[in-house]
Amino acid sequence: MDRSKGEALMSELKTTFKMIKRDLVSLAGLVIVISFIVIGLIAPYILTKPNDAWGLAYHVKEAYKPPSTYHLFGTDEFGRDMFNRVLLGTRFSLLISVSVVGLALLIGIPIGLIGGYIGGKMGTSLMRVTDMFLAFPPLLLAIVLAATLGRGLANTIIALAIAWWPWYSRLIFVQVNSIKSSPYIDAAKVMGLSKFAIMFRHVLPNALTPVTVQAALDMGSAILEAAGLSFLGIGVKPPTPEWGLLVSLGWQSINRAWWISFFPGLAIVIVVLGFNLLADGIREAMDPRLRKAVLMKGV
Amino acid sequence: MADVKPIIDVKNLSIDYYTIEGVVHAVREVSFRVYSRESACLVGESGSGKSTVGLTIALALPENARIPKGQVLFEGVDLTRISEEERVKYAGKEVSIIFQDPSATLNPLFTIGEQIQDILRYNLGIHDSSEAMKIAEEMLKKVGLPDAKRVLRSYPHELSGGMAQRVNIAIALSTKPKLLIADEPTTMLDVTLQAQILDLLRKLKEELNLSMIFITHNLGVAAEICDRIIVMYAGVILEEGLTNDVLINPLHPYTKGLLECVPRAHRKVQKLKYIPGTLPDLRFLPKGCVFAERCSDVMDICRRSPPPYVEVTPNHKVACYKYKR
Repeated sequence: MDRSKGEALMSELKTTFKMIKRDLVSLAGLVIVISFIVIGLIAPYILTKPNDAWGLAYHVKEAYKPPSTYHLFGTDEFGRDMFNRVLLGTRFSLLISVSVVGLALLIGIPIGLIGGYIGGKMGTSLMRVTDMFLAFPPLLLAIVLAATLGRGLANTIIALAIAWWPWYSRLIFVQVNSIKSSPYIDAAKVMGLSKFAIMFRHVLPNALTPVTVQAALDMGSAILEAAGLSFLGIGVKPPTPEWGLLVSLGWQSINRAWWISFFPGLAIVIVVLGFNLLADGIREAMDPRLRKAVLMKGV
Repeated sequence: MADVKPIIDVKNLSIDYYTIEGVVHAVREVSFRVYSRESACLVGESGSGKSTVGLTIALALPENARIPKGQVLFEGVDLTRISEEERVKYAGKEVSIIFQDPSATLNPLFTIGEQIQDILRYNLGIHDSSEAMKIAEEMLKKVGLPDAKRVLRSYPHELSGGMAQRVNIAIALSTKPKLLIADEPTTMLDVTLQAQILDLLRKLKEELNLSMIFITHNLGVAAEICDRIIVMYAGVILEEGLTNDVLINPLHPYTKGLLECVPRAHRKVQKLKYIPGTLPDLRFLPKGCVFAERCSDVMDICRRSPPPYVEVTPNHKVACYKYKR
């Protein structure tokens, strides 16, 4: 990449960041998401009680201790420190949300693009397959898949991604269909650009905005659904401190020790909220037309 | 003009659109030539098939269009039977087109600079971005945008209609085509801008040795810029001749009617004239002349069979029974 291109990219990122900063709500979302990512990345290295966090230690005498300065989020039925467990759980939730949405985008975008732009027999059959997947309620499909594949982090991710991609492919398909008849696509065609050049340079970038927003929203939902699977006992295996699983494990003793379920649940709520707030900001920041409108309003 | 080689030779071209409501015979048996360095004008009202012909030459027909008959020869190559690889080699390099709505033909997500760079990269293989930017800047200055640097950094929505059309012209001509098709390029612009853009096109045509096919419904615009006028109606050519011949001595009743519809500032007319009626339904073709239902000089024979295309004076042809020899 030469210098001018690098500079252009930097200024693009700066403008996007500036746009988000203008709006307090999206800024809050951005802060939550960034802290979520940072904590997720460094979690294993800042644990005060790593054995508790990984679920390797048992302190029977310490069981069901309420939150205190020593055990910030209290302890669970084995006396493990919940603060450390929730902290480490951030990493699993981050991994799940990024890989589920990433995988789903990787499958969904090309299929929607081919279905919408190339069309023909291949495009039509791809979209019919998409429709078949869309006919199942996504969580139900994920449950069936997860139950078939067996418990485990990787299987949870695969099950969710398979249930998820058709939504992206449908979204892209609809976008591409409206974009492919716009005058600038015709103009690109008559300028002699090849079908693929038009697809990647003109159709895809213009189709991507709603998908980006949806993906940001889904980052939160993926965490929720993974938590749901864990809660049902077909997701991540204990003693992995995944948030959904922590909520599920604490559920049995909710009357005696509310904190076991409460804090991981709170973490889920905050992160999902963060992604939802950010999603709206991204939409405004990415579109040059909206950008100008906001800048002119002087918000 | 006969001594010059034609750059475009359209022979018996017919084009059908396949729609849910039936097959629309948009263009039927149209033949004309455009010579090198000449500007020809296709004139007609909406639905006359003039844009369809333009799109065929630019290889930009929509997917539901079929060409059942005829040829479009560009320097001897038949454009109606061209493969995808040949299309990429031809479109945008040999022939460029500019459209009616200047801001809609630019991709809203990229700056003007990026878009011109793209075209140069794909069409001329210029990968070095600083070199491409230099060419882009030069092109923008050539089309009358002195503040080229700023325009290169702008997004399409930041440009006015006139600026956007200049950018489109710059993009179309950046690949040095031999033929430019202008599909109503001034229709959506203010009158003052129209004159400027026409002036610019005329200047560029001389400078770059272009041939031009100008598509318009406005005879005034045609008079400004074209050497030759081809009048189309309901998918056929009714009259063809040098601009002066057609404007001063129109032969076909339709051309006469069109000329009377042009508003003129210096002439005090109580009410602007118009041609009563509408275009025939192109799914169900009339047996005789397509203009018979609206013609003021209609005869019995007009409704029975289509009139032959006759050369009344040299280079001035008309399809009308009034001039049958």
